[in-house]
Amino acid sequence: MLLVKYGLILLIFKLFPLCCNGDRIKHRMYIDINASTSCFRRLNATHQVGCSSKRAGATGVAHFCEVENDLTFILKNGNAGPYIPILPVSLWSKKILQTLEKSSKVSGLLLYMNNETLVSFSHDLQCPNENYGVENTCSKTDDLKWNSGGTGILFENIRFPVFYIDKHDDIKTVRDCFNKFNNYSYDTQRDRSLCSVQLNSFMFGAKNTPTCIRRSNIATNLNPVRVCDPLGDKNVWASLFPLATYDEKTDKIKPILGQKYIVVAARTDTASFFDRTSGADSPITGLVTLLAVAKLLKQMLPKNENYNTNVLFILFNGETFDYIGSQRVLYDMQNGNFPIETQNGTAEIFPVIKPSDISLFIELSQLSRGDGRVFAHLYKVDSKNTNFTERLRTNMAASISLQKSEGTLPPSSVQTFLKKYENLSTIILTNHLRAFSNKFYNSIFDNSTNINYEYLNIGPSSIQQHLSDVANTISKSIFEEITGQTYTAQNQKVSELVDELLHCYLENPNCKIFQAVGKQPQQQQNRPFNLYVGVDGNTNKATTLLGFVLGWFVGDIVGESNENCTNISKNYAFRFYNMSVSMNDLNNTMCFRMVMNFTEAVSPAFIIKDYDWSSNLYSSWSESTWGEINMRLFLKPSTSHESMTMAVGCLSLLFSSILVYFIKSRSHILFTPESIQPSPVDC
Amino acid sequence: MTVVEFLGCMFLAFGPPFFMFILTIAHDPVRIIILIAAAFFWLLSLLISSFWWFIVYPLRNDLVFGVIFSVIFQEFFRGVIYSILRRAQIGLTKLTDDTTTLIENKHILAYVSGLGFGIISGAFSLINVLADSVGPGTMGLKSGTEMFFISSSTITLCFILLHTFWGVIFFDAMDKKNTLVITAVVVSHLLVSCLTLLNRYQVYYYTIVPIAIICALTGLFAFKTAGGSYKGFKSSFVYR
Repeated sequence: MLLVKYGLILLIFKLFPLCCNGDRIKHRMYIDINASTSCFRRLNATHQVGCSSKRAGATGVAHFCEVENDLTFILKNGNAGPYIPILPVSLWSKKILQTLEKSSKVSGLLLYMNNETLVSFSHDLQCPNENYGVENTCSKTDDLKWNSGGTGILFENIRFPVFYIDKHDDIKTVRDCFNKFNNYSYDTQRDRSLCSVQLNSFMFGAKNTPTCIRRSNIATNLNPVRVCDPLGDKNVWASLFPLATYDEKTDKIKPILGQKYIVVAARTDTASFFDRTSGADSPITGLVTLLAVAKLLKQMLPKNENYNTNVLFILFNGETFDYIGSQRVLYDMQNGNFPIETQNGTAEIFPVIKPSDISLFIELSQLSRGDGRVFAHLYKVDSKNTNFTERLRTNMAASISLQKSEGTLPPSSVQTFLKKYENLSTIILTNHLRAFSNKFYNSIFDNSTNINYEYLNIGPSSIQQHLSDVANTISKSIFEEITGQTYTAQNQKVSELVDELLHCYLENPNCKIFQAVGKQPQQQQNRPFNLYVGVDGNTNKATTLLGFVLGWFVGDIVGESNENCTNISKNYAFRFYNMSVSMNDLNNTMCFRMVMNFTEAVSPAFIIKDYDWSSNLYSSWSESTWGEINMRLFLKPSTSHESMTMAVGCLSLLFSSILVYFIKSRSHILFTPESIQPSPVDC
Repeated sequence: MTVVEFLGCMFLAFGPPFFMFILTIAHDPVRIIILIAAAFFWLLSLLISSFWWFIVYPLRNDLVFGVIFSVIFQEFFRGVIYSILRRAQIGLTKLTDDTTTLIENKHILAYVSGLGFGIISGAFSLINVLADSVGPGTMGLKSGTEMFFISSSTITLCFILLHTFWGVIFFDAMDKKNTLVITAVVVSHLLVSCLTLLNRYQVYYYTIVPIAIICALTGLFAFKTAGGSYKGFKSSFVYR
């Protein structure tokens, strides 16, 4: 009996998934567009920027535009509003935004990808991060606007949601729907059902960061709701030579004190108006050059032969949003917590590195080839950076001309340091003298086309060759700076490495280098990594891999690859990983020892107790949380149809009430009961 | 927003049964109990139908098969509730304050149980549809027309009324052992249910019109069965 019972239950459960795929009416009414990304809300100490829909989502009649006139037409003649215009992303400009903001007929905006060649497309400010850098390094009036094409839309508070679709199928679906229902006789649009769009991206955070942090901390029930998170990720640092000596006999770690450091820095993050980034020129060119420099220097200087200068590679994260990463590194340095957290600033494992220990700060900014010139920006000219610039000039490949620019300071991590330590010797290497040569700064169009990158196509004037030349120049100059000797050996060939790194970041994250450091081939998405800084507590996979790649380049092979490599050592001065020997020999792994680590890249504003938000000392950006972001198409019923339904319903209600009341009150006349004998009742 | 559409459809389908319930049922606890009991028996028929549909695996995608057997099960359970009510009638009269009417007019029990059948079947066929009509959209994007919701509501209303009428006719025929009328009830139920199968071709006018006509004819027949006549109808206007 029991067997039969369980047999039946089993049968039902087995059969259940085969049938009953609850096909609701809803599924026939809506088309979900899954591959859409949305603009979301960020907050700083005083403002909210970005977009949010209403809690139930924004709905509007779709209007597909090819050119700007289509938009003007519907804003003027549309009578079935509110509308959600569907614009090609190339039209997205400040002017369009103002038009849409002013119009009462617009409840949302949908942008779609088109392959138009654009002159400029950048939504960052004309003076990026102006308020948190050194004063008077950017002015809006004369020609010293760094991002001259910047619209600043990224930092606008937009009253309606904005979505972006880039899949051809999705764009076609939307266009077909519009053509079928909406795209004829606009005068009678009111009287018929129309293809409409619902954009749902309600943001929980509002007003500004202090407010939303306070709201997040109110415990009204057992399940507190976070309405915003600080922006943040991790910085990556690595040193060329070990920072500590390790005595195997006594098992003691002794920090190497009293050294000077040459800092080679770059930023690792970008941003865009949507939750999707490209970032080829900024930050990938600088980042890849830094990695190539690390690789070259390790080959040139495999061991520290009593040099009193070390090289520190630092990759700052969150620089797009008021220099989050560099501010935190500087804050940690000032408090004796760099490179690792210490008790009262005493060195135990690593030396405590202070800003005064930095002898030279070299930042690699946007370095795409452009017209083949590289500019060295020296803000405060002193002997150190002048000498180094001379070294660069001598070592530079013939195809590249190096130009010195004194007194200029482009937006860079250096600004954070110069703001506090104005005598720091700094050099910023970049491809522009005044305004950025990159017209797509912090936008989705800063892609491989923007830097003329083609995988496996390393010509003499290719970006790969250019970056590897620049990397060679820098590393030779640093070699000379450290050793005091001239580097005489041949140039190392790193263009293939650069090629592969660019491929990793711009095209395919399943590339050879990421596989080499990632212990085993990883299942990753095919879309390139998103280099937006993200929120604190949620480390971007790209950052972790970046740390491993940097560590791989500066690391030493210490033995066979096995479990003992990562497990046994309790030596905290190093990190140990099993990694492939080279990117062309992935299966041959060895045990690597490296001095590389991550530090928090969260603005000090969020860790200082009772921080005064109005002081504007540190970046205060946070990102609102949201429930869900989705988009769907549907058919909006016409008003006349709705009224008709309502009228029929009300008539039914009215007539039935009268009729039922009539029959009820007249029932003794209407119905003559048949006389039946009452059944004998038991009393 | 189509909350308007939702309300319109709800009023259309559930307005008449609502007034029937308020004005003729709600005042008497026994009638409410019978209504709920009838609804319960309709649910049992639904359960059996779905089991049957589930077991006969190969015919699962044939809607006709499900519809025909569902009708047979519904009519079977109408028979079940008839026999139960007739047995329980004596006991019920003890409970009610309204003894005389319940005893004098046996059609009341039939009407109440028929309405119970109708309301629950209407609820089950329309509530899923109504729930989806609230959203911002309406039918017609991928398939279907925008008349879908109002047509569904109309058909549901017809079914609720039909169930009530069938209840009255069926109980009376059972009392009189009139096999012909019983067969007529089952056949008309089958006919109307099969007519709804045409809805998949979106020819709503061709289904609604015949169903409404059948509904009206069945209503007249039920009126006559319950003791109504043209004379009584006429005099009801004159009275007072």
